[in-house]
Amino acid sequence: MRKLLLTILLLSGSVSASDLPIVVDPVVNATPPGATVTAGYVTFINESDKTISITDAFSPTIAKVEIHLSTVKDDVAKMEKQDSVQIPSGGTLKFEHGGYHFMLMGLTEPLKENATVDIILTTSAGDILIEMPVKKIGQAKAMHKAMEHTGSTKVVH
Amino acid sequence: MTAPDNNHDNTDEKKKSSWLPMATIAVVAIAAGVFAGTRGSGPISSAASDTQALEVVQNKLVSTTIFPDDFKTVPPFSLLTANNQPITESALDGQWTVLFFGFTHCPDICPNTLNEMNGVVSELANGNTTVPQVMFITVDPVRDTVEKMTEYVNYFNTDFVGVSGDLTDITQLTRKLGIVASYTADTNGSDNYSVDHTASMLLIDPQLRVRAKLTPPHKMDTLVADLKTLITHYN
Repeated sequence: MRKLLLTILLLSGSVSASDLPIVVDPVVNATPPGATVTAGYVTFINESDKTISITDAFSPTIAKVEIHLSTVKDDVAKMEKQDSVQIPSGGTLKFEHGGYHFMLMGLTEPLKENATVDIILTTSAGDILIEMPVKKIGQAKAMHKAMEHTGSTKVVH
Repeated sequence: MTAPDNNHDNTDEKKKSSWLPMATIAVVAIAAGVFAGTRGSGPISSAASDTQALEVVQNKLVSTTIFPDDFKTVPPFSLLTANNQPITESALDGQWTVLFFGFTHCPDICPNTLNEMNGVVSELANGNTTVPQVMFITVDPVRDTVEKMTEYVNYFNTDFVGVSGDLTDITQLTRKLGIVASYTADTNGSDNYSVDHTASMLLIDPQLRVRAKLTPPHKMDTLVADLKTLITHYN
């Protein structure tokens, strides 16, 4: 079922790759036992001349994926679901700890290191498939320093 | 003779059963005695030199607010920890404690904070500074059972203490400590709700006095520096 779904996605798009954002350093936090949610982080670079909106996220293996924004206001930590986020033309959008992140919900078993989570994004420039490696929490930063711009990314087109 | 007691129990049950749905469906804000309101209301007669001494320490702190000596003491509480064992305020007696309130359905701030704290305690141990115990108390005991809390904190560090208990008891404690927890329903379903909560951690001294508020963003380096400054100052 999952393969079929991806195949359909691979065949259905018709946008040119250059309009799609570049996806850098995707990572999903491995989860402690019992946790049913986790966060995913990534950086998008938009080299096109149009703002790119991300309007939906889903994963074939995760019950629900949403885009959330963590904020701390007056010392209260909050999370708010975002209906869409924008990557400015010629700019970047970071999903990072304490800010935007993918909220992966409804996990039925722990996400272990070295696994991969596929997340498919609906954007105004076309659909993107991101293969997000699962890393121990806190490893994202170390990885970022060690291997710049070598996130495992596939573009659906 | 038993009738009045039964009636009393029933009333209590009703109260409890109406509490929970309200917490999960509606937006219930529990906020009291927030730090800003209580800070600075210390005794007027206390010497100005005390205030000056505090200011000297405060100026060394990067991401922490120090409190006056008589600011607040952890009140008596009765909650649950690993293996369903009771835990009370006496667990804080005689050692430094970093107290953090959060919940396991928190994907971003809580796990990252606990991960930073894991780095902090090993760094402090290497630097020969007194290592505080780290206590993570859920503000979402309806979903976070004691078992869940224990597993969760142990993932980060097996010395961390996970605490759950009765919602009413936890609410009493958070109110007295000025910790905010408010429950926001997910419009897609009543099972999914988020808890907005105080992001700061509290530093409690061995006499249970609330000495400081460690404010976000929680980064290992600044936490290590501030905890060293504070614990060294008071030890």
